[in-house]
Amino acid sequence: MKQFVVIGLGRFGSSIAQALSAKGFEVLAIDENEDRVKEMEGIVSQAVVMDATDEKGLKELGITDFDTAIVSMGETVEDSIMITLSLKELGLKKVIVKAKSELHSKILRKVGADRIIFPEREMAERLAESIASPKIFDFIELSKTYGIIEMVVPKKLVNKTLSDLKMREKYKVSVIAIKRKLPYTLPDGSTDFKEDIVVGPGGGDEVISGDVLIMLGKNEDLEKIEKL
Amino acid sequence: MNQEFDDLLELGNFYILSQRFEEAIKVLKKAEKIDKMSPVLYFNMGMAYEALNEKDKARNSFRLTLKLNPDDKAAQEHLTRLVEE
Repeated sequence: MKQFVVIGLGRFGSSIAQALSAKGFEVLAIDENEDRVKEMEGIVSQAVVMDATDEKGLKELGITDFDTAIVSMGETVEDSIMITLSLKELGLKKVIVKAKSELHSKILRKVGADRIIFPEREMAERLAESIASPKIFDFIELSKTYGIIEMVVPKKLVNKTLSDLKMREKYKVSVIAIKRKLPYTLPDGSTDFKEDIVVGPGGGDEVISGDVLIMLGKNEDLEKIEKL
Repeated sequence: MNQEFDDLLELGNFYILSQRFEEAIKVLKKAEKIDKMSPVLYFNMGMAYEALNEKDKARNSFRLTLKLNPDDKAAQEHLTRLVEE
């Protein structure tokens, strides 16, 4: 089982520690602030009050046994750089660090951070995307050329089977899954939905209004579908 | 009770269960012209809009349901889900 250490239990750090713990992973949570650590007790496997800039202390905690560290020091840029450096020097395989600015990110890269994240910026970009095009739920860039899009099916494509739609020939994209809400009746006569997902749909599968298509293709071809 | 309203409501429900959501909305809108005070009508409308991923309209419909019946737990659940998405 993968083991994670989360250093810095502000809003982002505590959320990621909780999320990883909920997924069943072993999580060690560290912060200088006793109250923040107390809040994590019982939620994560272990919560410790300590100054994570103390390299010796980190070593004593057995930090090198962990697979991945997530460093999320909100305000203290210097500390996050120091901690990243210590973790890499101690030999941690993967260190993910939350950055505050481009400059911060550059330094983190130099001291060996394996992944640098800008949660606020990333969230803001996603939100902007979803406000600008409410029919697009998600877009994952696989490379500069290829991506995966999750979007509500355009009206033009509704009530046809995938083989009728000829997605690959006409639009040069592959439908890898279809998500839809399946209505059902409750014992009291009212209606509710359950989420259904057809993975690797076949030519005979029909696309209906409201379906969410998950498609893989070149970014330029996916953009064409967005405009349908 | 108005028979035509009941019939339209039932037809709307049938369309929802048959995953013909756009048709469901058409008949529910007809029903709305007869009675604008039915929480069930707006709940079903919300369901159809939700299935079509027309989230703004779905939220409005569930809000109307709750205005007419503040105790409707299902409408509250759907609304919470749509607001938090």
